[in-house]
Amino acid sequence: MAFLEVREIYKSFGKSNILNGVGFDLENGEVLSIIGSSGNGKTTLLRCINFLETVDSGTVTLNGELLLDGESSKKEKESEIREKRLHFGLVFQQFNLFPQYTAFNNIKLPLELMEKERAKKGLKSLTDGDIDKEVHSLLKKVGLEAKKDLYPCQLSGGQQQRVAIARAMALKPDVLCFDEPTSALDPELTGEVLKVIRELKEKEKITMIIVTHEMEFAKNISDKILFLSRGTAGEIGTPKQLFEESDNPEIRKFLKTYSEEQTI
Amino acid sequence: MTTFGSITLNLLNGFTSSLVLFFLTLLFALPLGLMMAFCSMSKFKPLSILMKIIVWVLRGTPLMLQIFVIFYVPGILFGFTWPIMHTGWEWFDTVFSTRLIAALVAFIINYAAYFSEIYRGGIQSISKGQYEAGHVLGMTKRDIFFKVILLQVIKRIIPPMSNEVITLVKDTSLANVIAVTELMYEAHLLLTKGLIWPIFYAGVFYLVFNGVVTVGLGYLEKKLDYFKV
Repeated sequence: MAFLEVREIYKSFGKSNILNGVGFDLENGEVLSIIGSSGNGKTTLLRCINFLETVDSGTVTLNGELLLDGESSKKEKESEIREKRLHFGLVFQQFNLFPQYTAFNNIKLPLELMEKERAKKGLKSLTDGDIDKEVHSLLKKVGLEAKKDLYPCQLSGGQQQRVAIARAMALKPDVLCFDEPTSALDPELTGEVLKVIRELKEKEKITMIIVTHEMEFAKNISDKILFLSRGTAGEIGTPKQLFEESDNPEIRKFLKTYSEEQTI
Repeated sequence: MTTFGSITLNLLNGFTSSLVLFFLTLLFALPLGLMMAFCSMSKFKPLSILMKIIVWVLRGTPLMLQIFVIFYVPGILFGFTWPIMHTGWEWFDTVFSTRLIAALVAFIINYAAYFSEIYRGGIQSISKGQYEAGHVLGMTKRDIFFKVILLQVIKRIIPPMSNEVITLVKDTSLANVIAVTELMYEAHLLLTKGLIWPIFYAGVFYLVFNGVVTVGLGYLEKKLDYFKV
């Protein structure tokens, strides 16, 4: 049994079927990139895994625990979903930092609320000093200790995204998801974000799912690549299998369009 | 006695009631408006439709009419009379006349309706991403609203709220129609005795007070300048 098993996810909005039975396996510490043209359900798949969308059917199992079951998912209580979604972290395309908090407090807020809740339930919880230490170490991991007291509007896009990554890691999710983390950035700023993600893989061995249009990056960082085509797993395999060996005409076409765009 | 000093005292006496109306209306209408905004955004359709009708009526009819209705109609229909204060504290009992209380209730309900629409616009203008970020970070709906959304909403709605608050300062004079002894009531009384200038003097009271309100709201706006929404 794999660490993360996503099976037969179906999702439609009104009459348009976005996901048509997509699934994949991922082992602990592995990185999966999801590629494919726009409108093929990459972001929707990620949002379903993070409980931001309900699924019509399908299952998600993590570490043997059934987290999402299409049959019963719509009846679940808010509090049950809250607990389950903590297994996953999500970094958004638009960062979605809280504008009224400094970089430091953006990371601290969810951590603080979680520890308060734990304390209330009588569970072991961190002291305020411990929380601050934890936030500092997270900021260090993304190389932004010096910017800790700045507000999001005072940070560059790349810096904002790095804070968002640190914030997503604060609650120690089992799987960290990225929804086109560099798509909203100026080209010269994508490098710093990709570098941070690469370091998370190499130093922290974090299990990651990355929806991306950065093909070179996907090729280099991923253990597995999922090519989404019309809401199904068009193909799944190692970067080598997909980028070099695949004779799937759709993948060839997608990669060709992509490399043409790069050379224009 | 129609010296400048005594007339100032008369007007100040009326102005006290105007200020009581102003501050108590804000105190109650601000939270009530927020609750009404939640009702009109409710996913439970009957509630949101009911609230929209209420807001439509409150914004669509004159405030003066609403003051009349609240003061007279309960008595005529149900024999209900607005309570008379007996705290023994004379100043309080005089200011909080049955007339002032009825006017206050009308102001609170009417202004809450306007505020609710401003809140609704403010809340709906906050990007969905803020809620989603809160959700994926394991925050409860309550925490997301109070720790993340509310301050952003406040920042957004200060300009439209400022308009309403300034209008409220002047609208307190409408309590005059059920003979609440507020500032315009006093000035009008002097006018009927043939004194013209106190009516302009009363205008200065409103003008100065609105100046203070404008500066205060401007300060609040500046205070929230440190972040962008």
